Amino acid sequence: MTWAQHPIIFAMAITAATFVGLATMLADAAAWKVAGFVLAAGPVGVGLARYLAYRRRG
Amino acid sequence: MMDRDIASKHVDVTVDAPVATDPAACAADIGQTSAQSRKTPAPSEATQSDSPRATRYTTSRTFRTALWLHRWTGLIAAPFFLILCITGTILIFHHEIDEALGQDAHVEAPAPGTPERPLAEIVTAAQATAPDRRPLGMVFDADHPERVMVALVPANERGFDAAQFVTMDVFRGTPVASVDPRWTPTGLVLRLHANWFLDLPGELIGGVIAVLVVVCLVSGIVVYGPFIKGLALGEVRRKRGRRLQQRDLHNLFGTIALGWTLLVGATGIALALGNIALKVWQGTELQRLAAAYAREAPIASGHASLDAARAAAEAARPGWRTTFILFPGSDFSTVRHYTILLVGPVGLQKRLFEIALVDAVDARVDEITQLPWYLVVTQMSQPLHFGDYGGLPLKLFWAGCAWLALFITANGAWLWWARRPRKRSRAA
Repeated sequence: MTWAQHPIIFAMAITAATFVGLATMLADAAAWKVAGFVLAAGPVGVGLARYLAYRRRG
Repeated sequence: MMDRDIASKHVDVTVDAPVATDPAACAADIGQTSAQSRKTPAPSEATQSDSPRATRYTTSRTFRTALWLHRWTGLIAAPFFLILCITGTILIFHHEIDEALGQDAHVEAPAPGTPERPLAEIVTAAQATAPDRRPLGMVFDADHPERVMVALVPANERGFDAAQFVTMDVFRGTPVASVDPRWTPTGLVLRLHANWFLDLPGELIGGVIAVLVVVCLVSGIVVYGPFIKGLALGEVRRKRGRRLQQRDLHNLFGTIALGWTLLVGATGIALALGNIALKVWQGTELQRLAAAYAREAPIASGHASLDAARAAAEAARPGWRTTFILFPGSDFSTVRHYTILLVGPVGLQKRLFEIALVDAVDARVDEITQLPWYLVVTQMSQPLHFGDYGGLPLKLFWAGCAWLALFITANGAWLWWARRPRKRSRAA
């Protein structure tokens, strides 16, 4: 998995995605709001989903 | 000696068990624990190549400095940051809370076609509620065009520190029952969050805490790498001790919430410096404007109407609307001008003011200026700090990230604390 092989790049990429997503949401158009939200919340959602999946597997 | 001390501290933080006694052993431990739990392809090659690399990295000056910074900035900021996370979560929903507690001023809808009352009449009616005070400004709320707030200050005051805000019905020209926003439950929480009830010194303390948080996060990026080697994203080693489990959670949640936490930390620094930025603007740009119009006499008699001044400012920037009128003689206007803050109709313009200087005698627009860069930074920091620009989904995202940050802070402090009994028992 990428995050274990390149942890710093992974952290920076997640940070950049969150920044860009939240900045995009400042636009008025609904499409930008949705796209920005997906970009910003994506990493958190994926991380939590994978954590829960591993937890379920034990 | 010092290096040895750092190394032994480093070991306590980095490995769970067995306890190593020098950075090289510690690095080997990292490789070992990684290899044992590795589920990604080709574990053996990765482990073999990781260990020497990990040894070099974890014994490097950069790593040890980052570790020291991460630990101590985190520990110092932790108690304050915990309070900020809790109060921040409450503030995300302050509109909903105020409404539920009935703290929001409510104005009856007027009959269709009812015209707004003249602003001067509204100000006079507001002043009648506190005759010993004088009006110094008016605040318009885009979300509630049916009401306006009039700031009344003691006769000799030029600033808003002692202001009393009276909410007025725009269509009836009468005061509306409302609670001073500074004394509502969410208002008190806001003051705790923004300045610890200490005004400017409190804001600066908040700024220092935000700087510590940002340093802690940046140093965390440097530090966390070796501890996740061999782990898949989302994987937490649950059966190998509580400490290791908590450390994996710390790294996982810290990484996925990193962008949000950095953003809120950085904008927190900008907001903490907001009042100072305003004072810089007063001391430079406003002084320049005051000097430019110093030859024109202060108002002796005969005011242009407030409505005329507002209309002139809005006509000068079509599509823009008034959000704040500062009366002549305030800290933010000249003795002869209304300072009118205008906000734009779309996008970022809604967040950024333009400042119109309107002659109070003849409602002539003498100047329209844009915000200087440092006030643009402050203004843009507000939505990015409060998360109030994306409806309920963004509010929930903000609250979720705040709770992740809360967890990371608390479990980071626990990770530091939990190593101490073991250290003592080892010494014995």
